[in-house]
Amino acid sequence: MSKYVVFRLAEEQYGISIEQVRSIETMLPITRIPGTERYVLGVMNLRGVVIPVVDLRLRLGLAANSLTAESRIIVITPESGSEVGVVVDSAENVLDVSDEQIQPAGDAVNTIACIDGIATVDDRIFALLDVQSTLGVA
Amino acid sequence: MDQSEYLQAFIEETQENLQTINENLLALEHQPGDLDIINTIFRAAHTLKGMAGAMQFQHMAHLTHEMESNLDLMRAGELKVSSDTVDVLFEAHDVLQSQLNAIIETTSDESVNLSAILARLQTLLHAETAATAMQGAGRVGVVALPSLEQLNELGIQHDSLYSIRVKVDETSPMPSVRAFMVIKQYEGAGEVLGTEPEDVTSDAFQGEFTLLLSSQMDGEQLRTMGLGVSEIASVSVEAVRPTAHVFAEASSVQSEATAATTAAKETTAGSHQRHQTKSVRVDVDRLDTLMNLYSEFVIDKNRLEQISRSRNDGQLSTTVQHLSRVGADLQDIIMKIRMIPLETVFNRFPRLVRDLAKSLGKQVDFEIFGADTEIDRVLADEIGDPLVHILRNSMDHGLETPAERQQSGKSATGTVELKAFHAGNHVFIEIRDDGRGIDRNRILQKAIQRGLTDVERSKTLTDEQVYDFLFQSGFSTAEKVSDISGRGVGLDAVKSKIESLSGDVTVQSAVGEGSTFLIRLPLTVSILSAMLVDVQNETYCIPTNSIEHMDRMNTSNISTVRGEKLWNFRGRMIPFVYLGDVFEVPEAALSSDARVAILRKGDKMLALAVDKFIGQQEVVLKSLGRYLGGRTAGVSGATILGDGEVALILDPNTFIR
Repeated sequence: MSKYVVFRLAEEQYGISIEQVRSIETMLPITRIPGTERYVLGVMNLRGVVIPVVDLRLRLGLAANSLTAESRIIVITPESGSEVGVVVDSAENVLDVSDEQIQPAGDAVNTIACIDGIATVDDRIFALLDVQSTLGVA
Repeated sequence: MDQSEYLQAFIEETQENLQTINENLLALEHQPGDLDIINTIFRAAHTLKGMAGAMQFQHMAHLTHEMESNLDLMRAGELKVSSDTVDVLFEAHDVLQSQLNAIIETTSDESVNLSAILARLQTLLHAETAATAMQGAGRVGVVALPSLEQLNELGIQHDSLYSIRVKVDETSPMPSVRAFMVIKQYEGAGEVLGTEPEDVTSDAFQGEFTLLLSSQMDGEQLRTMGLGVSEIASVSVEAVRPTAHVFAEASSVQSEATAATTAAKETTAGSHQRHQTKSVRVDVDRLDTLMNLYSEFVIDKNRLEQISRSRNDGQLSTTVQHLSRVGADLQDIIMKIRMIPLETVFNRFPRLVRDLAKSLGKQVDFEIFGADTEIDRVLADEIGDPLVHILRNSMDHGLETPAERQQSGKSATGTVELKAFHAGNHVFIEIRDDGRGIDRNRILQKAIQRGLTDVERSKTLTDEQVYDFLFQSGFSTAEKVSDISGRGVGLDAVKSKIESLSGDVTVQSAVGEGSTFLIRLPLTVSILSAMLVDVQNETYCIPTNSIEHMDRMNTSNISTVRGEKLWNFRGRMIPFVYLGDVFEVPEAALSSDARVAILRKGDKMLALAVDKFIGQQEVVLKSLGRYLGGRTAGVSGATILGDGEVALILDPNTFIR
């Protein structure tokens, strides 16, 4: 049994292992960094620490979306000093997922995203996203 | 304190002991007869053995035990100190270091294979002692005689010296207690200079020992005194004369050891007279946390200053002024805490140079000056590799072989100096060799070959500009690629590393006389003074130390040559760019109301236009995080402003080309 933070991106739901998540923040001011890829939104001040912020929609090649009151920054933390903030459309809740509820990912999924599997909990279906590998920060 | 905290302390202390061993082995090679040095190494090895044993690192304890055996014989003068024996001890040190590394990574020392080094130590032990075994047979129980100088130091040169052999009755149930009592007795009669065996209270004590005593009493009195203790079978007293020097062999060994002499004068002197200041160990993470907290404090302080200016409240502004002063003092202290002596970087170099000298067949005197010069910890961590590179370079390309040196009328042994000193707000590190120097013409030829300059322009270049070609990517004047310096990274890597630390590096040279590399670094990279500028509501910080002059926009000052804009700065035409264009700031446009900052790096300049100058401020440099590492051209880091927003800090080096 492992815990996953479930979030929404466009019309799809994804889960990130809670092990990879440091915190979930409401939107903070972001400073643009010149000359970086389009999906790098910039850097933000998270309690005195400067952290890069990535738009996960753009990273996965989805259409850009304007930020709403629902938008959240999920701060993932592979190790100290390399935290990255990931902007998602909304963070829903934390769910327990058992091994039996996870099926291997099919071919239909996005090619950029590193998907560990598809989870079905009650009537919700969501892809388990390995954000670290997706962003290349593992 | 749990086991992991013990482990941390063990790792730190072992690191220090290994360093002591390394430093003193280098010194020993230079002064093979110095008993103090051997004793220092012995003590370090002994401490290591004890700690390794306590931490259950049996392999490490085993190896240090074997080292101790060898060192013990060296102390007794039965094992000759030579280049070979020191080599073996160096190898043993290296194996201990790999064991420590293994412990750091896996908390076990078992992955390191010991058989080779143990065999080497054993061979040494047997081969070397076989020769002395003949004389050695009669030497059991002989205490090494002190020299006259040592006796003078003790202030007892007028006493007589006695070697007293004491035998405890075989029937005594506790011979070591009796022996101890005899020693106590003699301590009342004079100065006990030593005993053999050293520790009579150990289980290994056989009931017989020799004691070296300095006393004003005569031999017969002393004999009676010894026999006065019960259960003592016999006491024989012999008057002896102090020796003029400890090892008669020392002078003959000296010549052998000079084969690859590397002096570490500064380091040995340093270890003998290190200042005893009260200090505590602090985890570096805590220092970083302190720094982060302080930067939060600075942000709030800046904010308060803004508020106080707008409120016109006397009480408020007095308080804020006081707060600012306290803040400045606090910053001073924090910066000082973060400073560490360069010794921590330099201490591996004597060994490095020694090994290089051996493998290159060169002779060198390596001297370090100013190892106590302090520098920000972050810089100390980063400057090691560039220094190694320059040292390798000096050893490989700078210094000639002994034969070459003698042909050109120099002494066979070259000199490499590493010197550190403070000047103003900077730390300077100088690496000087008295080798063959750098041939200006060869650099020019090569630069022309590579298209870095042309024949016409080359005539007007200053020496500094010519030597600067050495730091260009892919530029190497070495005839052949050697194992030492030809590792694909050249001086260009050194330069870019140093520049990334906001420093610079220059080289001076005279053919036949040698070369000098001079590195200049800021004292700290954590807090810097910056000019805040605005471009279409984006705020950037320009380090003030790179701003030469600040000006207003004046279109008549700009001329366009081949599509490039040039700014007339005091009669000199320098490149002109608008920050809004360079950083592609949305909707930014150069207006006639813009401001211009003239930036300087060495003798290169640039006019950088911005929309507004906001004001000068102390800012705390923060990293952009590893995720963006290397992807941010023109930006060296970020800082957090009074309103909590992040502002980027420009890296002037990438602008000025």
